Amino acid sequence: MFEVQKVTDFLYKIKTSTIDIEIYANESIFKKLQEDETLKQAFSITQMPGIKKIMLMSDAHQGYGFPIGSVAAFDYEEGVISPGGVGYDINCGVRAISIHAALDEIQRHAETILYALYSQIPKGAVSDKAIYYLNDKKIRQVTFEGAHFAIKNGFGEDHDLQAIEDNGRIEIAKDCLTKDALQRGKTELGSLGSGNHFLEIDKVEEIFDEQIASDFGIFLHYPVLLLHSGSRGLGHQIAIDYLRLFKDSANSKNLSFPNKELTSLPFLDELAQSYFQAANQAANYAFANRQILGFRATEIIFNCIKKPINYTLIYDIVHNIAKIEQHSINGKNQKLIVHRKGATRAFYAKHQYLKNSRYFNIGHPILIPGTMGSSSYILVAKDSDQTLNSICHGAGRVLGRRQAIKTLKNQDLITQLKQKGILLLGESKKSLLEEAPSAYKDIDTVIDIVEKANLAKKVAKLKPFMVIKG
Amino acid sequence: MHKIIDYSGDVALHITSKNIESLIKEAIYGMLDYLVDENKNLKIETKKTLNYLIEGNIEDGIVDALNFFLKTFYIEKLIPYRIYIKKTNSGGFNIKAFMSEFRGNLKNYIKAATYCENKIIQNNDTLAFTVVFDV
Repeated sequence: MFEVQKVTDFLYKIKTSTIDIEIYANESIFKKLQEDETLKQAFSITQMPGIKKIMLMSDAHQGYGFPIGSVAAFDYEEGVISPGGVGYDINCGVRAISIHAALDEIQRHAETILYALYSQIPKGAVSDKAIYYLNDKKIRQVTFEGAHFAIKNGFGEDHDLQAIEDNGRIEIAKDCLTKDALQRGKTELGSLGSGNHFLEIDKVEEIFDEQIASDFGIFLHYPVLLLHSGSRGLGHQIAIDYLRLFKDSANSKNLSFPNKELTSLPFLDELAQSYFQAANQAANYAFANRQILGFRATEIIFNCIKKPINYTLIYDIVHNIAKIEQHSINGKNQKLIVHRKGATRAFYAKHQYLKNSRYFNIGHPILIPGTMGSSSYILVAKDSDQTLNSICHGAGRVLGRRQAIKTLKNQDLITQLKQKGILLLGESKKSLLEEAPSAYKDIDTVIDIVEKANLAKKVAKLKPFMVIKG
Repeated sequence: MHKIIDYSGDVALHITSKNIESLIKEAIYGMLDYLVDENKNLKIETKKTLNYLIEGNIEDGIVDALNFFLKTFYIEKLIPYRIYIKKTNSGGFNIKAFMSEFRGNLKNYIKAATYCENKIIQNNDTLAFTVVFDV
């Protein structure tokens, strides 16, 4: 169906009438991508107005509209913004915190810590459990101030902000929250969520670059807290409300799309600008959410081991967002709207977008979680602009949720992982099976592609020993 | 009839029915079936009656209606226990829902009902419709 060019062992290109689709994959992952709608979805994006670049990362798989693990960049003036290109969990991301305690001290109290985190961190399929409840005034504050709000209210230290993408706050020009999004956000700040969201404590199993690891605050055999969460119901509702408004506006302008989830409007259109503001408000909510969750989790851990709280925020990175960025494409510097849906930023040392970051001189940590039974990686970007400073965001699914339950129903994951030294707790057997390690691609292979394609290099490998699934 | 099927990393609700009215009703009940585990033995009390109008594109209208009931559930903790669908003079469909307080457990979290590939397909005298849920 498509004219495929194998550029290297880790990069494929598909020619289209507009631009090439660039696919970071090895042979087996590329073959897998051909089995579902991923390539077709990427092709549809090449037909959208103002498209300048579309890439699939090594963890890519079929989404709705835009594939998960995709990066799509549109021209600032001629191009579009699409809520479907961001996804429903706006500014979903991963946070890593270095716990300043000996590993054996944490492991000695492992069960106490596990049950304390499980009982005190709101999680799972709930919509009214939060660490911090908000009124009308405060919720607007959160969406304008992001992680700064959390820190002002006692959840963390000022220096944490330098280790958060965008320093934990995106500038908001005007309030574009919808009424329902505001309501939903009131009761969910400081909650993990469900699905693939998690909180875990890992051991630093391997260091690949001692100097950079040390600069990141990562030390061999020390514990690292890793958490994955997003903008919760507030973000989901913004996506729902604006996608509907986009659809109505596009209909009135007689705009049509190959898939309704690709519905988009010119970026400079008034409604598109309102969505962009609202999505950034959701982004700030997500920054505050992870700041509160991370700080509260460290408090719980240190309460369990009866020591004063001492931690370093390694980084907080985002993987569902659209941003205005300047990049060079074919030697021409361009202002773009970059949609990363299940893809993360990867800025190397001295990059202009890191100028207010703690990591300006080395490049920021790139956090790539694996699964509850495998490894996670911390990488640093190589000096390359080929992917608009973007890489994968995780392992990427290979099994559907029901397929995972059906295939693995006789497995006792909790016992299996315990035998591997991993304590696991989740809301139900079903929710754990949905997220079983074999439902995902092999993280080592996904990271190998990133490294061999010269996008980033490994700094550290983490191995979980305590996992709480949302 | 409705059933949940896989859709890549998410799930989809597949509904079949004889006509649009029951298709809409089945879509709402199907979503609730996936979403909640309700204690049906408790006394039902109407807390509110809601009217929701589907106009224009039916497929998109069903998705919008599902998102409407989803947010009503998340914000107000109300779920429809009885639904009546009536065709309007303009060709749309009015959903009248009697809402009661939810008492039970949330089984699965749905972020949103999506517009992805939402097309009603007619096969002989049966209508089929699939809605992808972002979970």
